[in-house]
Amino acid sequence: MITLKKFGISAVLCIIIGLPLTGYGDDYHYVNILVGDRASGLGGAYTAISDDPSGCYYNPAGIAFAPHNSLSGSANAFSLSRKIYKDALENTGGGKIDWEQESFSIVPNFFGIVRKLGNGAIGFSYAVTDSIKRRQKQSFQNIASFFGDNPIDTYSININDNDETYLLGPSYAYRFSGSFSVGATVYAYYRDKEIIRNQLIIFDQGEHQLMNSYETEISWGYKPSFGVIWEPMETVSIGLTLSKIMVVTSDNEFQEMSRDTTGYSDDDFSDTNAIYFDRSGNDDTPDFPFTAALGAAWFISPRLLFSGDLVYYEEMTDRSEIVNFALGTEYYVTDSFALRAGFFSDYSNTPLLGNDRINQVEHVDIYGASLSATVFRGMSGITLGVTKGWGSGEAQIVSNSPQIQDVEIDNLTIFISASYSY
Amino acid sequence: MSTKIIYSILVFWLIAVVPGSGETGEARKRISDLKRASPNESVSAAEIQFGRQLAARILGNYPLYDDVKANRYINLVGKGVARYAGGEIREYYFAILDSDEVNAFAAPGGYVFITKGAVLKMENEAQLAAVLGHEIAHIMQRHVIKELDIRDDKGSAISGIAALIGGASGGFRETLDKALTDAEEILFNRGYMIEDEIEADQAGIILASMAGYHPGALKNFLTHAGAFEKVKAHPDGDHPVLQRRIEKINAVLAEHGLQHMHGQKIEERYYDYIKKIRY
Repeated sequence: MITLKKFGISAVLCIIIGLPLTGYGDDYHYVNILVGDRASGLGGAYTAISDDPSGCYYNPAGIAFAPHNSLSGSANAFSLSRKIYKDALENTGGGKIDWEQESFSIVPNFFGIVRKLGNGAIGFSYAVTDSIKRRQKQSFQNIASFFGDNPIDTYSININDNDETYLLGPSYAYRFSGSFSVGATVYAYYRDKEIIRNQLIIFDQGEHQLMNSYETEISWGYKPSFGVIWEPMETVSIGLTLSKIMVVTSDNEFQEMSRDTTGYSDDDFSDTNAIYFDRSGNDDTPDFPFTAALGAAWFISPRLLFSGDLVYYEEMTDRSEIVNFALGTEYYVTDSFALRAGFFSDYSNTPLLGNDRINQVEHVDIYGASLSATVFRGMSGITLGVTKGWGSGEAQIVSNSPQIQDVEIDNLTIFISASYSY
Repeated sequence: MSTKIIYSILVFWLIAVVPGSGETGEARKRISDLKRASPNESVSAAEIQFGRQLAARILGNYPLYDDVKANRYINLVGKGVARYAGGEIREYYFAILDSDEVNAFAAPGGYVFITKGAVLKMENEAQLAAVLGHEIAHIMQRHVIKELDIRDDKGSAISGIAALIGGASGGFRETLDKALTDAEEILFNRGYMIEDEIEADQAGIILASMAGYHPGALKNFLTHAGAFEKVKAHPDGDHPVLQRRIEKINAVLAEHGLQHMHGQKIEERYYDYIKKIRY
């Protein structure tokens, strides 16, 4: 027997162990991928520099300061993210078990071109600002349940999430004087999200709970970005970028199927012989925060610079106001070999978890460090770099339970890029 | 912080700050930008390519002398002199040609060849350094390229070579081939202009002297072995070329106060490295 029931069938299973409320994509952080070869090496502290194609993304005003026409492309050759929920489960012997998710992707995440036109410059760029391919395939035995006399014999979880955000569009900047420029980028925004979750719980006494859910989101919109750069003195640059993603259309679909033979569920799902099936959809458009990035750069010499950014994200429903920072430095060891290093934050935009509350979203503050090396040959440059992120925080992955788990996040990205000036 | 406040700050900035801004923007250029900004960079790359093709033609006429130890020695001496050359050519390459002629060749981009015959005529390392310095000076002064007189639409001979190298059409390839043939003609038959030869003598002496060698070494070699390069016939051809070169060398030694300077000659090491070379 199949029963259609709108919304919330997963609540049946959440009585025992809920699917993680967290992590559809990584909507809880804003700095999921660093974009651009030079900018990535500087930890994203690029708002006051931005004088190459990646300036189209960080601060379009910067491309007016580009010394040459140029094009640049970069790829994250290897991007691995691991998230561990500490002591998420407990076996019947009282031992704690971690819950572990991994995301691995290879993404060509930036391509841009800048062409100078008198005092102005035009640009065109493509950026992948979020790419998550999260996988979890774990199976546990002899897990304690809320029903002490009927522990879980086998618990299997399979997660397969794909969530990518693309930006594509033109830029223009104009340099009004030697020291001041304004610029704008209008990106087309596209997000393609697919969330697949499978969960099977078999109890000691033979009953089982089975759930499969499938969710997709296709969103289109645009992201206007307006920037200014001012050089108050020869060796100092200050930049400001204002931007906001505006989603115009969104097509969201949700499908869920479950079966529960335990009889533990509430009245709506109490038929132990039923297969519950739900399919729904809507066109609700997600909101994104207004963002303001303020940066400064100090060009100490043609070989050495320091840069720093503060990036503000406005408060939204269920999202906190946050300010991230980024610091970077670049040093030319020789005329044709440059090293860059950066340090940045990627704070969680969710509130801190409180005691005696349930179903709270996770809160994990992440810090990152980057290191890259570029070899210049003639008019071209090749960059190899690495970004390392780490963070810890708290989560509640068991639905309707006040229990809080510690969470650890560990990210590693190796990126390669090539640039050419002409 | 609200959106209105941020917009207010931005408007204030635009109105109040911008009019006072001065002309800046240069400091943000990185050392790689400054290097790229030099048009000589791409021109040098073209010179190197052209020189490499000319070097291949030189080696088509004269095989390399197969003595690893002697060739390494020539390179050590040559690179030691070239350190003082400056300019856009970053790397010089030196090799001995298997020929009994007393001669030396320089191809654009940093390729220097000296014949086995010339090496055997030399009496010490200082004379070798002076001759190699002379050839480096031909490259620094771009004598071959200027003599070829291939000009771009702006009248630049150097950019003309760059255009030839960069050209992809059959016409460009034919013109490049002719330029290489003309360069061979200069090196093997016609010779340099006497003014270029004198300029190379003078610069070569300065380079070798800066490297610590005896300033009179080139003069001694010319006196001992004779002129080692052909020189283009000059209208006042009744004036012997060798005599004129030596007069100019004496002048530059006197001008720079080098005639009484005692640099290194280094005979023992020289003979140790070239002792296996035979006619």
